[in-house]
Amino acid sequence: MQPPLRRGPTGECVNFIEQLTSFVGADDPYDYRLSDVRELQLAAAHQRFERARGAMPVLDRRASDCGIEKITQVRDLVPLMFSDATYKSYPDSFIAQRKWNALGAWLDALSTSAGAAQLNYDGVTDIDGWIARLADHGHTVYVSSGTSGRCSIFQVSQADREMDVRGFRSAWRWKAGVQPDRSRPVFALMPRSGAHRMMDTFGIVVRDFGRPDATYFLSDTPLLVSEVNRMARLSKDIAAGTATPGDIHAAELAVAAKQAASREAMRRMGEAVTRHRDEPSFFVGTWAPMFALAQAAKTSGLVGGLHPDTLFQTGGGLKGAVLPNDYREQIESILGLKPARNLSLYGMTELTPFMPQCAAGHYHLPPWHVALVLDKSGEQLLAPEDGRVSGRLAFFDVSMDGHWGALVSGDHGTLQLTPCACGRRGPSLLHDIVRYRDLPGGDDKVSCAGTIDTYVRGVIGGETL
Amino acid sequence: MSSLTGTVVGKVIKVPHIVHGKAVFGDAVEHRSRVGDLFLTPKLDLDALVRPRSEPGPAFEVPLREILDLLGETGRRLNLDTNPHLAEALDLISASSRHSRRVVENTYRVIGQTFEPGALGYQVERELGPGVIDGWVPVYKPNAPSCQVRAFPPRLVHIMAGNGPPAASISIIRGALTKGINLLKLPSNDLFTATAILRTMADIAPDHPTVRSFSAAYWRGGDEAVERLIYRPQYFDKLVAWGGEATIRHALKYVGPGFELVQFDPKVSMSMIGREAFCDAETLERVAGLAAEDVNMMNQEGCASSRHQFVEGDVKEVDRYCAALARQLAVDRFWGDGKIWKTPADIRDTVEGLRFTGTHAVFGHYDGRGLVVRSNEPVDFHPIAKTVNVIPVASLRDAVRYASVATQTVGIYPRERKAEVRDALANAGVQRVVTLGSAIGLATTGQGLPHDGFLPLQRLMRWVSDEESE
Amino acid sequence: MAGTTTALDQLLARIDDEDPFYYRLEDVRALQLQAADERFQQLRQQMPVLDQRSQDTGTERISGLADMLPLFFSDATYKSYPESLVEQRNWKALGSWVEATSAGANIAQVDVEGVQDIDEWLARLRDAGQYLYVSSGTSGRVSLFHASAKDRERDLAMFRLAWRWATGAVPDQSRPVFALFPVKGSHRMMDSFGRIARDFGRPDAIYYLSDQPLRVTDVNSLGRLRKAIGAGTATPSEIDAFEQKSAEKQVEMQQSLERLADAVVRHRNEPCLFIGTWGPEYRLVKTAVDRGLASGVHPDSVILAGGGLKGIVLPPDFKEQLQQALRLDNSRYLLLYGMAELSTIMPACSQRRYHIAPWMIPIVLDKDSERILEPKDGRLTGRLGFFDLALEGRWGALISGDHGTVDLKPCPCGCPGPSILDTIVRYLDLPGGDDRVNCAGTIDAYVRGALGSAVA
Repeated sequence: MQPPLRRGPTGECVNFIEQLTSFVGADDPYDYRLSDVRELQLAAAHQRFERARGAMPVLDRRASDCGIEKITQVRDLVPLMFSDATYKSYPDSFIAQRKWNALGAWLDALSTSAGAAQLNYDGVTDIDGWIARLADHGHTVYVSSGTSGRCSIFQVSQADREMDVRGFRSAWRWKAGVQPDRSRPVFALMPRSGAHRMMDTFGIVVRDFGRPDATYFLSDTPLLVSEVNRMARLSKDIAAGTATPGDIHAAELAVAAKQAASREAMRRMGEAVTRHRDEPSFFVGTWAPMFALAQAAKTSGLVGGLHPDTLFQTGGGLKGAVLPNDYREQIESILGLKPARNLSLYGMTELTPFMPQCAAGHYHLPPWHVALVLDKSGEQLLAPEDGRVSGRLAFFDVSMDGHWGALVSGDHGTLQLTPCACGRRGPSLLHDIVRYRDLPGGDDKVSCAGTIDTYVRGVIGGETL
Repeated sequence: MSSLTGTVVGKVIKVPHIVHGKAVFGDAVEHRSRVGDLFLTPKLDLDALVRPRSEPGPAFEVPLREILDLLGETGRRLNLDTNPHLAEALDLISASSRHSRRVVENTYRVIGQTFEPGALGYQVERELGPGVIDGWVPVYKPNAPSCQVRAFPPRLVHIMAGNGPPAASISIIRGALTKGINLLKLPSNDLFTATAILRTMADIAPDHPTVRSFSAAYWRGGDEAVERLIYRPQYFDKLVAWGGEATIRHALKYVGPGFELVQFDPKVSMSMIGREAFCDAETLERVAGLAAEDVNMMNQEGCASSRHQFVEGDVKEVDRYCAALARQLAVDRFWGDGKIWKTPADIRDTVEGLRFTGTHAVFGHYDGRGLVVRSNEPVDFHPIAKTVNVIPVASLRDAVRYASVATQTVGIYPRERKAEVRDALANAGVQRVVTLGSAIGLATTGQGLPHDGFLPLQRLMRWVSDEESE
Repeated sequence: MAGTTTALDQLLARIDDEDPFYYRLEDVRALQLQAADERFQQLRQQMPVLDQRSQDTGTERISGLADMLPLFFSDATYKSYPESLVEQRNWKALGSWVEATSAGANIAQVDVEGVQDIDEWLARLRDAGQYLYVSSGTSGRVSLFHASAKDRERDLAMFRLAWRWATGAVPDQSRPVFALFPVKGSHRMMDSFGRIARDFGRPDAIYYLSDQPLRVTDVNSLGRLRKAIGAGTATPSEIDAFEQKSAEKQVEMQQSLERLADAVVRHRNEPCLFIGTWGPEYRLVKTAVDRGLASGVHPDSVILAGGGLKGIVLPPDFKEQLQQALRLDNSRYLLLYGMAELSTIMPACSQRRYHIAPWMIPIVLDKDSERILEPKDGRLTGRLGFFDLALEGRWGALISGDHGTVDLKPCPCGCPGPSILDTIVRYLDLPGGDDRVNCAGTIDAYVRGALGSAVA
């Protein structure tokens, strides 16, 4: 089942990366012994590092700064880790002042491909236009939904997009033995299009599984980054004292109108759920909208759950949404969601692999995804004890091609290196993953230093997806 | 175990409370500090911490002179070399502090100075007026019958700040000068300084009314089980809160008729440097040194610490300044360390991204020696850990638009240029204009001069009038 | 019907009519005024406080609505006893106060030796045949008022009438009953509703919210603590103890609701009777749904709901939610409007209008209760007041705290008598009324309201 480690006579011409990522076609890509693939992982990691370093000035600088020339052990990856701050480091003023070429130069520095700096951006008036222009020239740029009003912006390659879809198909086959056959009503809790990775990849999954005449999206209007940005800008203007009461009121009205529209969309989708209750359907989305949809379905008269073969793809944090404590139970009881039919995922938007949850509740890592557990500051690699290690989660996605795939997360979690209770031998993450910022305690310090954010009252919060 | 207080048992620290001037020891309640250390306090007896309004506070009728004497003696006894309470507080704080022991020790070496009775007498007279704190003073209003006024002692809860021992001494001095009843809520980032000062005072005169006017206790800030019970006008007149957005938002829940909030808001500060700095290399280095002084107080953890600096000059000149500033940030200073903890990863990653925009320049290091980022507009992140954002401007007036209601201190070089911008800065919301290098202002701010836009003693008193008194 | 009977008797006899609400106001107005004067002359002999009022205002006779106006009381009358009498257990003085504010009360002769608190006092009086009712006293101060034996009898008759008139239900001791109030207490609701519960209820299936009596002392202790806080004499630990006790009560209440909710589910296939006010009923029904009530209750079930929300916060669509969960037809609801201190209640018709019996004179005043308003197009909108001619144990002319509209024209339900529209709100809850800024205040503003919602 496992491709043997092949070495060429000199070692250079062998594509270790491909050897590793070809696991995606295996029957069970998550059933492997770490000791069997560690050597291949390191060889592939080094290969990836060499390639990316040559193409990405930012990585090259980091490598020189910390004196890493070769990756021979997992420890070598630690100083090379980026964080989401890397992909949020563009100055807002570039967007406000439409400095598209400068923003392109920034993107180039953080991507393995170049050319964004030199493109002709004539006529581009906002960030969505900038992304569209890049897409016209073969650059796929994703934007994450920044809860704080600040989005990550990063570039992926064609290979990344394909790997993403293959990953999902593989996860579905693994989880539920389901083949994409375009037969199911699909409820996709997201807009139909947008520059978010979810809309791109999930969109393909939706088309894979969905019956074309019964595919429902939350909205047909694309998700616009400029809208998210507008809110962030308003916040800034309020802080600077340049926003007028009229501006704030207009923004509040826009938010209210949007919320009303999304409630209405949710209501319609809830009715559709009830209509299709006797067919095996497919649900995809994060927990907060899933909860709203369950409520909407209940209001429209759904009792007794859905067709037992209905599939769910869930995941994601709550992103500040406040839900009742028993929201999972409520969703389960209204929609009849069963663990065996729920593909629950954990992963970072900026990296390709999503880790599916097994029957034992663990999230499993494919062999091309190396998990590291660091101390809270993200600087020290922690050693496992009794096969487990807890701390800040970090990942190196060996498959990542369009940008550098080593990233520290904001999450605290536990990595298990011993076989999982579900029977798979590969490494897995326990389900108790929490964001560091949601951990209790630690904020009782009083000091007189502050930021302008304190002076902006939060009337315009809660806007992002 | 040998000493009675602040005892370190293994890794567990015991923090005493002070109840009406007397130290209370105990280990009934476990807490965790923000660095995760366990510490123990006595059980909170809220009934003991409040004093009924039916009786005046112990110091209400004590002449100011006697209070100044006590404070003066306290100042003399706050000598690190001879005061066991202070030495113990220093040991405990530096054990968990991120600042070097040298810097923490320096802050302890100066707190005695803040108790200088001559300066405090001046402060009372300057803020309140002569005599009015010791009794009823006639005031003469044209065409009105004669009246008398008294600055009457208040009942205060202080939510203290923990970023440096001076915060503790200032709260205690102000509380003592008002003659009022004071409950100090100890901050988790400094559990020791306030009690050390209060115990020093108690050693001098255990039954002194001022000593008996003070209580100090720890509870978790925002703990409703405590705050909803005691933050009431029947027990206290005013809540004196320092900084911390969360603290102030918590406190607001309890503000209402008869219970007032006196807040020292969380603040940011900046510098403005005129083209005079570029007259020669020596001057540039000296100005960068002054600017570094303002950045590096308590390793950039104070409200007066400079974070953004606006420099009059072209990009080439400003880059020379940035290089000099990066050098100066790496120098050990009285209030700051030449090398501190590493730059936080999110700032490092952001700055590494900015490096490639073609419009930003980066000077210095991520290793704690100091980092300078030059940009055309202020950066989107909040600079901390000795990180300075330098923005070139054509004239100092252009920099005024970056000041706001959140700006506390603006340090300006050269001093002659202050007059040019101070009205515009005040109009933007700024509260304090200083000469570059003097942002710390320990001997001036609040001690007879405004603090955060008001005269604090005056705000703390209860002003009562006796009208048509003759 | 004429002859020697008084106007009062003639009006009150109508309670036994097939439909007492079916009348035309102009036909009874003269009789009403005559009866009002009879009641006035009768009670002023017995009630010093009324006699004083008539002397002060120079009112000797009632011959029109305008004569009545100066004689109207407000609930302040029944709250005018000094709290210190209760605190100091000065039962004698409190008894004198009751006698002055009521008619026919005979309290001075009751032995109150050894009485420790107001609940005991009320019980002692009850044992001696002297009924005093209390109101629920949201603010921590209860009204105290006297009801004669006749008043109590009429109260019950009134409820039977309302049930029959609105839902056709008759008292045959056949139904499971869900009574959303404590089994015992000095509140009028516990007395009248309790008797209704026994009237309609199958003896083995009557469920009360609590088996603990509702104690006035508990309500009063809230008021007393507020006072102590205001005075600065309450210590933090006393406040804490009180708050903890309130929290425990909330938990008990929730457990109780769950017990009742399970019974609702059990009896869902029998015609039941629900009796209570909106707040607890809404909570009961929500709890029942959570505990398995999926398709409503038996369609012949009836429900009495009414009362203000008394500061309880419910979702704006709580009535719809309740209706959806119970799945009862509109005709199964007995909606009531009335004042705790009066006896005559006003049941709602199919058009959700509250109908006024002929022995109840409605008046509508301006906000400040100074002027009687003139009808416009047959309608009157303003502060509601009523003279309940049925009362004989106390004075029945009372001004409410409510804003509403009285329609003097026939109701769309077909009944020609006067009715009140379903738009009644407390002046306290009206928007805008409290937007004035004024520097004058009371110590109440200085007592933070962590102590609210402590009463049942």
